[in-house]
Amino acid sequence: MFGCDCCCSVSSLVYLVGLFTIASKVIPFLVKKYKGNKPAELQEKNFKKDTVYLYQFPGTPTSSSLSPFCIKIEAFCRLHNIKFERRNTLSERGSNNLLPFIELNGEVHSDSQIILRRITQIFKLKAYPDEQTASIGHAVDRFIDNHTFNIILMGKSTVFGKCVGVMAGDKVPSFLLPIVEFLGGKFGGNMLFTRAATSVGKFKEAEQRELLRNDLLQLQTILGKKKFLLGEEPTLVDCTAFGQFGSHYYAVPSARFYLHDVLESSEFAPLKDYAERAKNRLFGNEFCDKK
Amino acid sequence: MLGCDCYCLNSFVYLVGFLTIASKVIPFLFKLVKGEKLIELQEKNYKKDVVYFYQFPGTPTVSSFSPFCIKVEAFLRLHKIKYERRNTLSTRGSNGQLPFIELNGEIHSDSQIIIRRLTQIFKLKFSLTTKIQEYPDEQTAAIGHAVDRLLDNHTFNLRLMIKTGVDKMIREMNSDTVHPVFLPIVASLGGWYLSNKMVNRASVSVGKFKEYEFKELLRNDLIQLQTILGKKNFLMGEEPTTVDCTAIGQLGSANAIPSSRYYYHDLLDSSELAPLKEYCERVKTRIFGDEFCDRK
Repeated sequence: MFGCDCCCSVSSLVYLVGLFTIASKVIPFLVKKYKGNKPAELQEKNFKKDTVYLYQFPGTPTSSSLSPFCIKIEAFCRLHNIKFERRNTLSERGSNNLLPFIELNGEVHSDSQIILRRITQIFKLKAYPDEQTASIGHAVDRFIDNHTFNIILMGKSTVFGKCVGVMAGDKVPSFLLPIVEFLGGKFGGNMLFTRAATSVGKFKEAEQRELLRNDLLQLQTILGKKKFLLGEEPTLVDCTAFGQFGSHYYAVPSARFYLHDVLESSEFAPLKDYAERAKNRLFGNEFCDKK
Repeated sequence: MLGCDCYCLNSFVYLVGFLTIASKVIPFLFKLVKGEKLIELQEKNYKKDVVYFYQFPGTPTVSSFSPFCIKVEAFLRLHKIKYERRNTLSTRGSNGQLPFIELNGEIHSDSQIIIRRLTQIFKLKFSLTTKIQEYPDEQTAAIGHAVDRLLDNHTFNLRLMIKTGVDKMIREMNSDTVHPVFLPIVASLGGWYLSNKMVNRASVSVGKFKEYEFKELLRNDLIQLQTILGKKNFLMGEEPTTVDCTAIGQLGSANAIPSSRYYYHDLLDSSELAPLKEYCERVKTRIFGDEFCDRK
């Protein structure tokens, strides 16, 4: 009896896992083949001229989006008074399979770096007042988005369950929410950590904190006595910086981790003041998910 | 007939299932059994205050294939820290990567952490000969840090997306260990596998771009670097600092195999980026002299 049950369940399990693994490789391959390299269809068919349709992750009552890169794009549009309309989505993706992406005058642009370059070119904007400032701004911008972001992700991965809970909040019955938070936290948290480790390296918790603290210290030094990172007026890199603060510090207040402790310490009061200043200057009182 | 095919198909499904389960369970069991065992010291009879520097090997034109290894060696040379190279293909640090160092019986992994530790360890307050300052002042340190991260976390990944030349790199790295008959196969298969892995890593790190997009972004990175350099000898001033070590790592490692040219080399050879190219030569000469190569 035991032998029979054991054998049957184990071999069924092996068979099932085999089927699943094969399906998980073959199906995306077939879908890709079928879809071909057909250009992504426009979502907004009757688009208004010179209006950016921003496809982004939804936000919360305390953030315009859960994603720092989505916040960055909206901040940049607001900074330069570019007409835009938010299109919250969980399932749509750009041509790079990520969010945010935008549609502008019938064209689709994906990846926040590329989007900002295209908006700057199309609307003939000056992202920075001069070339020297632009070069420093670019370095700080990449430092924040490609390093600080990943170090923050490592710490955030431990409380990611709370973010999942917020995302799923109104879509899932309340008795299921703790389970969704737990599973989402474990699974999503691992994915976040792996992504971050691939990007910047594997660090122990003490090293993560050291590197995060150092990054924030250097940012605060760059800020100095100025109102914004590179001067008295905000520039592109302030949109980038605020994207990260917005997503990780403001978006889900219950998802507290090391970043919150650091930003709320007296040593980093100037940086926290800067984050508030950027929020007010860039978003006014609209830094939330409007319903 | 169909029944027979079905049987083969069934066996295949079982095999895939079995391999998938094994590939998850075996490392898990292994980890459980090994536990968090500390990595053993390689250099048992180490000399005091000498850095044993474990890195990927180089070629006649670069000290190492890896920009992060070049960066650490450049830092050691810049600050005249005694060190000994230990070329390796298989040894790894506690983070599963290279470079790592051993210093006075302690192991430090990850190039960022290594440089931070070296600065802390060799910082003797009142001794001018051994004091290490990464940058002359706090403001320069802040900008230097930003440029350092731009190079290592952005420019690096844009270069990884250019898949050419990986097979040549594998051939060069294994020319002593693999028989010449097998070398072409090892190089092509290894090159295909590794270049896909590199592109995936780069995509996770900075995003998925079409070819013309990552070329645009790479050109922009180099132009911004050149603007930061301006009329100075080095990125932050008239003397080299940590970020110049990072720069020679990222920019210098592209010359590992001179016959392997791609978009990056065309950019650096263009008149638009002549100052940046001169800067690379200047850093190489200043920090490595004529030793920017794999000594045998």
